Amino acid sequence: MDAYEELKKGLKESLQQQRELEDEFDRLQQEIYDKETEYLSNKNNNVTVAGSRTTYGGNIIKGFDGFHKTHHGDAQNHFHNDDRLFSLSSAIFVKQQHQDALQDHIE
Amino acid sequence: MPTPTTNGRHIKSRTKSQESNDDGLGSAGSASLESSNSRFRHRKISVKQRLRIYKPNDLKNLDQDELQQRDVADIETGVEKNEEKEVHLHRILQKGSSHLNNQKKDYIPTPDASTKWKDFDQFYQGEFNEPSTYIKFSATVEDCCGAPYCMDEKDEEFMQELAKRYKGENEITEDEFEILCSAFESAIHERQPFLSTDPHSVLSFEELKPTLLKSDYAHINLKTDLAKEIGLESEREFLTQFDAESQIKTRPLAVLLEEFGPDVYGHWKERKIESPSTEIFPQLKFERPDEKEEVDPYVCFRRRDVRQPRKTRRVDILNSQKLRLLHQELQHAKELALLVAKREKVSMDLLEKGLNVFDQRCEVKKLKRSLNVKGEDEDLVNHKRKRLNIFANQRKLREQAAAEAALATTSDSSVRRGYKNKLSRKELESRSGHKLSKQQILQLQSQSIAAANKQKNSLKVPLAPDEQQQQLQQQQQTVASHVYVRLPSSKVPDLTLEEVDNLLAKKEKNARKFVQDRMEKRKAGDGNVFFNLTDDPYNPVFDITLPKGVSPSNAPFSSIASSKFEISRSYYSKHLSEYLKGSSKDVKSFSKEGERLPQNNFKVKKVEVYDPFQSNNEVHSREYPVKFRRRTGRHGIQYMDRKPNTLNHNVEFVLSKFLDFDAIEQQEKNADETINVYDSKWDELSRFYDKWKYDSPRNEYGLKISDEPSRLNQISNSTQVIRFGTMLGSKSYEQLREVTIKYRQEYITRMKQQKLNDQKQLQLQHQQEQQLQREQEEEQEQERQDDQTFVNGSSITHSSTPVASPALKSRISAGSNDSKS
Repeated sequence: MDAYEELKKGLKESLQQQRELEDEFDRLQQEIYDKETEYLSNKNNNVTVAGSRTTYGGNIIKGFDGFHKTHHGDAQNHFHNDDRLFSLSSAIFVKQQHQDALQDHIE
Repeated sequence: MPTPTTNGRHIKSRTKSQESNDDGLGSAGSASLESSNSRFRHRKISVKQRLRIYKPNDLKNLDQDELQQRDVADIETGVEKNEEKEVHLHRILQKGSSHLNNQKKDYIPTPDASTKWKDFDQFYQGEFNEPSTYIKFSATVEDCCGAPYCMDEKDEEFMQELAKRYKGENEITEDEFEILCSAFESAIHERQPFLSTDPHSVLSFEELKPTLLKSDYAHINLKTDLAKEIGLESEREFLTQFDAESQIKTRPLAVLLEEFGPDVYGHWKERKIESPSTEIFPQLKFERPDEKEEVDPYVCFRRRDVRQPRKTRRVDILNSQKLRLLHQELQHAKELALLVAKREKVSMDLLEKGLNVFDQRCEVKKLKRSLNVKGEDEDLVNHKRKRLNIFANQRKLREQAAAEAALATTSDSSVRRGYKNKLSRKELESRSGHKLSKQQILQLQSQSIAAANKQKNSLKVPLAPDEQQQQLQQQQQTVASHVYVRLPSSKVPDLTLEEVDNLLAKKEKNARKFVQDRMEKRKAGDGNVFFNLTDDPYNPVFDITLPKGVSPSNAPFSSIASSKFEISRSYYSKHLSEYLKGSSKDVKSFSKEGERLPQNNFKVKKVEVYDPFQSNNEVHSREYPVKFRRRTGRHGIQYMDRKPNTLNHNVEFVLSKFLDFDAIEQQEKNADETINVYDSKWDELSRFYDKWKYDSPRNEYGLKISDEPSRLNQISNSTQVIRFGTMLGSKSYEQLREVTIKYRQEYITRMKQQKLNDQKQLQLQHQQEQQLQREQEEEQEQERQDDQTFVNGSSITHSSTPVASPALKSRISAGSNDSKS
């Protein structure tokens, strides 16, 4: 009986840990998502130096093509959800995205 | 040798080329080469330029000289101009001009790499697995294949010796050996970059050891840092993509150095000293600026350095800025990548935990069954947890934003004004650090608004007292909603007030008078010629009485019935009824013989027949005794004018305008005379007459064409009346029913809406009250502070003077009552 109680206690602890881990996971995912948004849609992504501008933000995903060149005119900072490389590297995220799309569809 | 052609120039050039061949490296050859070079300028191939195509059988006919020129010119040596002077290369270049002579070919001496190694298959039998992506990352091969040092046979011998010495107790693997040697190499390169000048001065192991330990070989420190950041336990092994797979089994460098360092170092040092130019392995040739002049046969095969572009200050700044940006980007990416790594670690832990939980559950279940324990099941099943994911969060955010927007529109204008300096929800959230309920948000916002107001007011310190009061009022308005601004008594303008009704009546009167005047003016203009019927919409033209059989109740249903209306009196034509009856004295009737019938002959209805050719204009047509004219005036106003139908002038007078009666008469007289048909006036008259022939309600025999009003579908009038009437009746009933149903539905929805609104208002009121209490508290505090400042003698006036709370409350309740009612 003691062994049973002990086992039960252990199980309880494990469950608690599992829950904490899940929370941690969600938190991390959210953090990644937010940071990614910040990085990809960098508001001050036009840094003007000596009269020329350089686009900043999202180059890790989109490539550094033309990074060394200076841009004139409006640089667009649109990004697609497919650019969320970091978030999309999680299968759970992909699943959630899918469910969200379904829900949207229902609504 | 191709056969020379008959062309004299050819022969000449041939001799020239032969000369150069004989000379070999002679000055004459090089001179001709140079001259031909200068003569033949080769351009880039362009689409505009024609190029000649030579077929194989053309070749022998080709100008030898020309070919040679081409050959020489086309050789792109690929080395710099001054490097072409290297002996071997130079020789080849020179020979190139004459290599058609099938002489022995020259080579630049290169190490022989053409031998085959028999045992290759034995050692390299790994299978190639096609990767999912061709590009994984852009690091060099050297960065990814582990230790750069490659063991050879000598090392293997040494290893075997070493193994014998340790007697199988503590063996060093080949990978570890390579790691050690690579570490030695890099450390020596760092400490003694010019070792080749004196190979025997190699440092001892003890001397080199600090460098070895310090150097972060294979990025051990980096990896441990990474592990720490991700939160991995230190003993857990992991590989980055840059690490070779062999590295996982190796011990860290520090351990290896302790265990085998001195032994391996001895062996390595020996080899180092032995080997030519102190490199155990051949090194790639690099361009060194100071060795540029050196004539080295391998100079063509060196690794080329990119030439530096010219630097300017601006470019410098730009580049440094860009580097900074790049750094920032990389930092971002690194951060994200680390987060991803953390996430993956957590998910791995999660999986492990899941397995763990499963195992534990299994055991618990087993024990439970054996102990026969009932219940206590809640830990044994997976409970569905409502996990908030990113998308759910977003959804929630969106909904909240929408709700807020709705709230903003329903709340009063003053609050909306407050939204101008609103703090967004997010800001508020970030400030408080956690999510807020809607109400809390509202409160916070109002607080911030109040704070902002205070700031504004304190900025405009010198305020007139009444202005202050106004602001006070404004503040009150933020609490109670009012459309009208209540002015202080001093600001109310001193005016006699007029009632709105009076003003409107006056306006109406003026308008009427204007219309009246205009109408009178028009009447004066019309004079007696036209009588305007449109100046009064109720101006009757006829008096209409119903025939005896028709009752007024069903008369309006039938348009047909109107044909039976009897006109008893006409206002504009006094004798209308007589005209209609055919008993008018103005109409004269004639018998068939053309004799006039007596006035009092009532047997013959005197119905007018219109005949413009009748010279006697006393006979009237069946046209109306009055003429009406519709006229469209300015602004599309339609007028109906009446003109008495009196034909005073002679008809013939009008007709004579069109017809030449004299000519007709003459023609009639001389009927036998032949004239041109086209000129015949008689014909013209008869044609003209024909035009009017049938413009009469009677046929040729003087009978009416139709006696009664037309009958629809051969149904009698009375039947039509009944049918039409019932049709209208049923239709109107249906319409009525629809309308009532619609009205009822609307009523119900309106009632529902009203209820909802009431509830909302109650809520709002509640919120406002709470908000108010908070504000009051604040203000009281402020008051205390104010008092203090006043005591201190400072002249700062705070416009946010406290308001007596009961008064405000009553205000609010009054306001809400208003809105309720």
